[in-house]
Amino acid sequence: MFKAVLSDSNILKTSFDAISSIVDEVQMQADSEGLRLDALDRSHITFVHLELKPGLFDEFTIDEPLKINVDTEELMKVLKRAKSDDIVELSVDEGNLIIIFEGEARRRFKIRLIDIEYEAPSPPDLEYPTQFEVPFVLLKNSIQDIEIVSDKIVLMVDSDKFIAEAEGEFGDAKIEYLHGEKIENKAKSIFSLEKIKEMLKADKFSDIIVLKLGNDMPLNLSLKMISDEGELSFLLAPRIESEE
Amino acid sequence: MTEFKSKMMYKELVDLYEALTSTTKRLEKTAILAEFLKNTEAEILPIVTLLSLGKVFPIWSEKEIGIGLKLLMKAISLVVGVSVDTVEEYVRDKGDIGFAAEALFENRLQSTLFKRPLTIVKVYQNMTRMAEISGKNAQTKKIRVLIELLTSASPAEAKYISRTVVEELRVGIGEGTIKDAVSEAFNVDKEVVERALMLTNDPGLVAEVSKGEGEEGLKKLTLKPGKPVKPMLAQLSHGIGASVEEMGTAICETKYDGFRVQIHKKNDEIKIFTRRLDNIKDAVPEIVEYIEKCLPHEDFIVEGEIIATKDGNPISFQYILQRVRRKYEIERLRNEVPLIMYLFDVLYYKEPLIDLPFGERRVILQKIVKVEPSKFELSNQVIVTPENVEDAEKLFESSIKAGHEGIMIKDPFAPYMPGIRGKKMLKFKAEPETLDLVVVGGTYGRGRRANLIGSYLMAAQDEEGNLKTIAHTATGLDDATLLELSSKVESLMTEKKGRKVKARPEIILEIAYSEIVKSPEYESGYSLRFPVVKRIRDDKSIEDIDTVHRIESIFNA
Repeated sequence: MFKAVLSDSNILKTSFDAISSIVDEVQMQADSEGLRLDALDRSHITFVHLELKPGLFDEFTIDEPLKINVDTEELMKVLKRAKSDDIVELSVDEGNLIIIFEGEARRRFKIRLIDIEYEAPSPPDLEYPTQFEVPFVLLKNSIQDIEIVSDKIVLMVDSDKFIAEAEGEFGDAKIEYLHGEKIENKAKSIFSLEKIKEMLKADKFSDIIVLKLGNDMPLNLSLKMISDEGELSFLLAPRIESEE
Repeated sequence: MTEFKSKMMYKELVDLYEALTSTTKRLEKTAILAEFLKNTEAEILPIVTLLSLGKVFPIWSEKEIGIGLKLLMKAISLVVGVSVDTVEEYVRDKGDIGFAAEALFENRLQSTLFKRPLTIVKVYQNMTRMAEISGKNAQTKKIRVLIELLTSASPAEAKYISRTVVEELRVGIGEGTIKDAVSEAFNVDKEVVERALMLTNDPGLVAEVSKGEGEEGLKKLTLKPGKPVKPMLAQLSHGIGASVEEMGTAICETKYDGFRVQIHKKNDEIKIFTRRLDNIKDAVPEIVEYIEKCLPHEDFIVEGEIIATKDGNPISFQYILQRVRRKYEIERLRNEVPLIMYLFDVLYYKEPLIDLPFGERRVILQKIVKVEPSKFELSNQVIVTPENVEDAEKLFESSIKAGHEGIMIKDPFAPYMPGIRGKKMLKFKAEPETLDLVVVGGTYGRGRRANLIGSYLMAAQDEEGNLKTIAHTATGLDDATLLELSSKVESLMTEKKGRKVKARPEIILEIAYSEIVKSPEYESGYSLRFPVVKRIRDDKSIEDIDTVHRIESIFNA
């Protein structure tokens, strides 16, 4: 028996907005530690990790660990129907994930569970030279600025500033932000803009982004709830190219 | 999905492809392939056999991967981290998607978080999966499955995955080499392997049975309704009298100028296969109705010719193509271009009949068919000996008069020999012989016709299935057919330089000509004078095109 009730429907909606644009099929694991998923996109460029602890839910009961395999596109279609003041209830029966929206009316959806040959990937364990926070909105805006000139983005950090920049055929763009943190190293990597945009679709999860950046290393981008009850994080493989 | 235990790496198969490409000698290719097949685990032998031919499914299978060049280029661009334009540039430069992929993968700009070396099973499963995806967003879903393969691929692996996806492997392995290699690998008689191949059209199965059960097992393989057999083919007769004389007794039949088909019925499911082994059942509903009505409710395979008519008279072959290729408005065309089926052989009725003499098969056919005049008939026939050879000549004249092609002269004592062009079945036609050749390129016209490929470069095949150019042809087509042909060739285009294009060899044209001449200009060493396109042969596949050998023998005759 598994039942999870969440009064803030946006948490799931915003998470899967990003997740469904990165992976087409996922396995969620539910156990006494909460609800969790680890997934790698088919091109092996982006890794996504979602963790929602029991404390985040209004009710979270589970007898035995459970694996829930779903088509993310189908799940997203349903989650899109959630109104922001709806209470969401998750449960499973034979072969279905059941989602109930409790609001003005009680609306119930069933999503067929799927078969996937699943090897839950574990993310590479990396040591980063830098870690710092930036406001979500700042990064989102930077991406939109950069998009004008290029489909690649250079992310840099030094002791003073976090810099996002790009050079395009028809122009350049550069965004500088004084991070105010104690950073001793410099770091710089280049990424696909499209891939970062996919991650930032989760725009209602947290106001703050924790970034870990190295030199030609994957980008570690993490969204953490203040309560520490939920985390949505990503790892993105860099582009390998000398700066043009 | 079938579970496989095999952990054989795709790299090993790629090494095989490279080894096969390194020699042009057929014997060497055969030896290399035989050695590989011998060392392949039994479980994946059928898969490896098909993949060595560049196929994922047997040719009669209705499954297809369904990824065109455009989608493949998109997948490559996403994995490598470059724009689709860059991929297109590479394809133009290298003249081949495989070489382009290889070069691009040497310098991937986008790194990955994980690498999982590809197994043969993984490649096969993802290819199968692509074929199974249909419906809404199918393209997006297919491309993801393809990307999963490409992202873990080495440059050489990317080259062959790409070529397999677009079904153009280019390692020079045809059915002939497969036959010889299977025979060599598992020490079974060549002719037994060939017969099994012709009957099942399933090289994977034939390899598997050869390994597991040897010759005895192969001999037990027989035709099964539902799976098409290679049709028995006719040689050219140089004269009715001489041919009948040589045969002793002959069954002569009208040669209909239509579409040769094999009708299969198994558990009441009907399939109508063309010579290319495509199932065209849905395009010819009236034939299906006649089959229901005129043939018994048993499992069977019968063979015949479908012709198109107008006011009861046979009309040009092109009209039947219109019908057979049709996906829409089938009902309207059904009235405009009515079809007649003429049956002439039975290969299976409750049990395989191919080893029975043709005369007896014909008697069985007559017993099981309820003829429906002008709809579902038996081929017109006479039995002749040298004494009454004039009956055959009369049949020839009346057939020509009625608008048919000529006559067939068949040995009543011969078994059905799938895929064999022998002396037991001859054709005598009124018109001069034509050649079936494949389009490998073309040239855009000038001025008003600058948007149209006006001239087509044709090729025949050599003994090893390599294509050898023989002529350019520019005449013989009406405007509508030319437009269709031009856009078809464009969709198969692999290279464009100025007005000249190269195309994937898929379109077969029947070419008439006045004379074969020696020519150093073309790869075959021969050329055609006054080549004229008679028609597009949608019913034939690349294996059916004429050989340089045959052209040589016509030249020498």
